[in-house]
Amino acid sequence: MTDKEVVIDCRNVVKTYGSFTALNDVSTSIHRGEVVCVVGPSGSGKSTLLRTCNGLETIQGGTIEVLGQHMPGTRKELETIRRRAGMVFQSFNLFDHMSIRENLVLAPITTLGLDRSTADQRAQDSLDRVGIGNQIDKYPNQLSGGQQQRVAIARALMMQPEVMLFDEPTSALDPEMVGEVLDVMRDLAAQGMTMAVVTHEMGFAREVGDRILFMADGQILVDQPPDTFFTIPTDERLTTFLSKVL
Amino acid sequence: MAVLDELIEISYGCAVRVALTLTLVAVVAAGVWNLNWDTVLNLDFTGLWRFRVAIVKGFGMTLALTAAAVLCGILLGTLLAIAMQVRFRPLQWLVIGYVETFRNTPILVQLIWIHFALPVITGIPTTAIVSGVIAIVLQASAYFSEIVRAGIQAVPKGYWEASDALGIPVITRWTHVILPPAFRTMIPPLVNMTISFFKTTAILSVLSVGELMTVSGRISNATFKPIEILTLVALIYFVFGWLISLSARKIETAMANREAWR
Repeated sequence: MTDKEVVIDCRNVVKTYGSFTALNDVSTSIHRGEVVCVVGPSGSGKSTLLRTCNGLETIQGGTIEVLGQHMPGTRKELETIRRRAGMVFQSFNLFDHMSIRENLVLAPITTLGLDRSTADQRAQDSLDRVGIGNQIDKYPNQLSGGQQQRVAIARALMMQPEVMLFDEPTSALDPEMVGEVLDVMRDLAAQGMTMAVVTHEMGFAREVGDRILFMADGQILVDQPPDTFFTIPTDERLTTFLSKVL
Repeated sequence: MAVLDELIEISYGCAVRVALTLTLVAVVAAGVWNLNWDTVLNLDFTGLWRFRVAIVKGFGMTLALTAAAVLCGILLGTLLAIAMQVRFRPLQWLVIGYVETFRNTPILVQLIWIHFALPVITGIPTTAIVSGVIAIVLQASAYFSEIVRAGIQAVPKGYWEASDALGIPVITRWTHVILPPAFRTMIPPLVNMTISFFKTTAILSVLSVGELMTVSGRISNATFKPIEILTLVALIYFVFGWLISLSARKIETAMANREAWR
């Protein structure tokens, strides 16, 4: 994988909240087409790491480059990067006062300058891709949690992103809806999408991830492909963590 | 004996209710008995009929002033509330200073200051109606900005993050993502404030701006019958204010139903 273009590059990233250090000298990179899953106990800094890659959190030290662009850069540069990097949140963050269609077309029309009919067509395609093409004129709270998260993924896809960031996309879902969202993500990975996924779904990480990062106390302790990550644990805290979640 | 206790408790409760009712009746009866019945029975409302055009015009002016206060107030108040969200300290201090000044001084003082002191300072004289509109709009914008601010703060944090993550431009974020749900939660306080400013317009009568209260003063001077016209004017204010609250409750129920249905 290392011969491919670097999409996200974090060097010695430090993030603090007051006296609390959320990210302590974190370095890693993600290459084009790679699926990197980030696991670890809560409070380990994995969500924070993902959010710094999209400029949702500022950093106090180190550097982050996304798609060759130094973060955060100017406001315009930051907006451009955010359009090229799709983000999916734990709590969906759909706009409840808009229909699914409006949720999907708002950003492409206002930022990419798409005309209405092109945007509508793209919205239909995106929804078909996540398997809910027939829900386009409903409102978010008419859909199940799993469907809402799939809409959120479709909304991110509308911008035709080069990389997708998933922040615990299934953690707020009822257990029976986790599968449908993971299926969509599995399809995206199979289509070659570059993905960074913060998750607690070990089965998904093992099956889909090219690399798995284990984080604790604001540091990346393990960075391994799935076959060695689970079978040859090199870190004591990872062994403890795995014994609890598996 | 549990049954006996219960019986005593029930009869005790009944006695209290009867006693309270009798007291209320007695108080009201004493009040009515002590009225100046000669005056009350000699009140003559028919004489007001010939002033009907003036009264309607005055009420029209009251409504126009209310509309100016509410519409300009919401517009300016929204801009002030948005300015508060911009992370630029001097601008925030300016807005806070403005809002606190106009919320914490009486409208009567502002009105007289704007009409008599401001022209001396600026050298630009203002007519009574202009001074009145300026004063009521300034105060309305201060109050409305607080309502809009609360409405904006009630919008879930996820809306901001999602707009950020999608790279939605600042103006679109306000017009499409943040303000629509914010205004929805603001409807009840906005209506209350509208009723409040509808009543506040009466204070502008100190500058004789020609609204309902000014007209009532003129009529009372012309007829030497202040009680009749004041009673009528109070009734007009009450009916209209009450209609606004009723319609607000209708809108709220309708919106709640639509929400639930969706």
